[in-house]
Amino acid sequence: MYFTCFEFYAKLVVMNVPGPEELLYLPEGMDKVTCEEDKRVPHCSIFTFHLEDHTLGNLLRMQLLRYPKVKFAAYQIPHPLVNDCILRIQTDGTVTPKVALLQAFDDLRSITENLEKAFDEGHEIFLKRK
Amino acid sequence: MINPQKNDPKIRILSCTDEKIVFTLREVDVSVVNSLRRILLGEIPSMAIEMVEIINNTSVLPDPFIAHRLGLIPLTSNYIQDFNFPQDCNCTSTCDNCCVDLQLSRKAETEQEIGVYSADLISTNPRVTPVRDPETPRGILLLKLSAGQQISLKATAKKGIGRHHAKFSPVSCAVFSYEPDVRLSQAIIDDMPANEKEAFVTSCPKQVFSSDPMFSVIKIHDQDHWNCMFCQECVNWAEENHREGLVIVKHREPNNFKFTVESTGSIPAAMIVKLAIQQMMKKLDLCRQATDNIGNQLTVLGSLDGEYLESDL
Ligand code: SF4
Ligand SMILES: [Zn+2]
Repeated sequence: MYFTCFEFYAKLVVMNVPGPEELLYLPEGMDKVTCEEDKRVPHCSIFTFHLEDHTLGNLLRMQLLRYPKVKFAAYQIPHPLVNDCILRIQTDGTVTPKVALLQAFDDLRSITENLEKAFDEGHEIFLKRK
Repeated sequence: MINPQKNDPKIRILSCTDEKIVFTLREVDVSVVNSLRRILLGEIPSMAIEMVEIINNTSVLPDPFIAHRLGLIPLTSNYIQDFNFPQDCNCTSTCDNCCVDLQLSRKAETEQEIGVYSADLISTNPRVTPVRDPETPRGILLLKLSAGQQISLKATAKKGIGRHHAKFSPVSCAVFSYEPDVRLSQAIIDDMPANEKEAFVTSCPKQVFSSDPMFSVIKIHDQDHWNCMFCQECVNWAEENHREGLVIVKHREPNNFKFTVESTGSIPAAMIVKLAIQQMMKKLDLCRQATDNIGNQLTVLGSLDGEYLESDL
């Protein structure tokens, strides 16, 4: 008899959960990030990150809110079974939301780099102390 | 380019073994720490059994039950980078680059009941074997066989991440907490009789406060404040006994954390943390790249007078 561990769940409990592939692999031809302009308010764009969740959404939102030129930044997971993260950014008009977003990526990248450095240093000190 | 957040994180490792690492993080925003925690739980790849072919099972446990237990066994994944995700692999179904086969075959020959342990799983690849440690050399108990019963099966381990299924998560625990700040008022303590002091010291379920046998002084030893879990029991005790202001419990600083990571044994704990930080970088790079590629129609906003240059933030 052949089983995958996943089939068990499907057999034991009748579910309509999407398969793991949908969680991990972007469908062919689909963009990782899509963007549309919010016409109702000025200088506002809505970015949709596919296959991303709170891990990225919250990180970006908190970083964006630190910029004085960003008037609004919030993210949303539309549904637990939809693996999208929707980020809405509104700026004061002197920069575009996309520029603000790219800046957030750069700053977060440098924070993460420093975090890695700090961890390496901490580990070295720990090994010496031992 | 301004970065209003202070960008100088400091990490101090308090203890570190292969199974568990505890470190303090300073000057990092909670959103970054939380993302790190989520990545630790859900996005570090490791190997786990994904397919089970039962050849013979006369034990009391049904096949699906055993397959599920097998899936949860941690497998050593130190060389996980050398493996491909099944969907990314060039092979048509299975190959050595994406799968590892394991075999299990036990029979209770004598009258005696025997236990089948994870160490009984024979792997075809010495780099991916069931995790063992010196204290429990036989690993995890899978099932028991009584006289004459037997089990024989083939299993295939694949690479995956915790977001797909928790069995792929290399950590059994990844938590962080704020640094507690517990302060006592010496004036009120001096005022209290010994029996009251004793009652106060024992009011804390985590033994944050220490005292001499005579209950004359109450102290918080050097690192004991880390035990505090913000339960407010001590504060409640003080209020109920009309000793308001005896103790104050709060977060020391908004950006100070203690992070604890326990490994399942598949990857050493310190390496998991390092992998998580790298994974965070990869994720940011991937999404930045994709955002950059969106196209320029959206960088022009409303007005056309060229006022909206891509200036610095
Ligand atoms: S808050 Fe709870 S754990 Fe912390 S010191 Fe008070 S009683 Fe102890
Ligand atoms: Zn393959």
